[in-house]
Amino acid sequence: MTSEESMTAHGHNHGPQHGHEHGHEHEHEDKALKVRVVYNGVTERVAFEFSQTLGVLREHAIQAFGNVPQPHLLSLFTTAGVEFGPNRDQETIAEAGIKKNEELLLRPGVVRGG
Amino acid sequence: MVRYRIPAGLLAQTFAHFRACGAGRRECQVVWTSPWADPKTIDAVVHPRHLAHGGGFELDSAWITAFWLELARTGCGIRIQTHTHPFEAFHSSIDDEYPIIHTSGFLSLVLPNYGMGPVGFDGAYLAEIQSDGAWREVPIDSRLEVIP
Repeated sequence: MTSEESMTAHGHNHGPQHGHEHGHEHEHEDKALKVRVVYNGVTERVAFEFSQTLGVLREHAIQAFGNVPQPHLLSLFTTAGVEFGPNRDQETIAEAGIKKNEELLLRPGVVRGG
Repeated sequence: MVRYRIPAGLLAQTFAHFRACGAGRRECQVVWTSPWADPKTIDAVVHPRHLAHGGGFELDSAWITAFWLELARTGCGIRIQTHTHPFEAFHSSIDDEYPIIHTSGFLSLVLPNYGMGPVGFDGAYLAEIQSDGAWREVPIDSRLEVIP
């Protein structure tokens, strides 16, 4: 499920002035750098630049889901389980090896109770 | 504010997990999920892979990763985390700091006596994340309704 699905799978509104057929890749969107971020079953697309830090990407990912009052407790994870937490906020996205359209998970680094 | 509906069978299943896994000696956790298409009606009890002892538990990180992908694939979300305490039910500082979901409005239900008592909310404690990140106790019947 994607909260943007009601808008469009392509990332912008297809109003009457859109001017071309649906069902094909958009050239301008091919150039857009985005990752897919999953949080609690919802997927959002988050824009990035390779020169940005992981901290900026983490912040933008958290903002995409809103209403998360303790953002320092959430990390980005690859689907293979590599954690990009606050301790890696200064690394660039390029250094971290994150790819365009990669799926990342926004989740707590630790879940415990007691 | 959302008032979730939890079928009585799923509440019974929750206690069954606590009794089988915690066995009256260890804490245990389950999460209650529902589809994003109908978030108010809980339709599954999920028992995470975790390590536990008499005074706490910690979820397996690889399990969380797999579960996150499963939630995205199935279009479901976690609505309430439920765990046990050895004696009195309350929200500890560890419970405050390390929930599975950090969104304002998320609920955390704590059951006393390792969940070995009767199925229901006797002695239970329900906490909710506020917009400033603090947890606050909320009346159980204001957020949860047990349905047949």
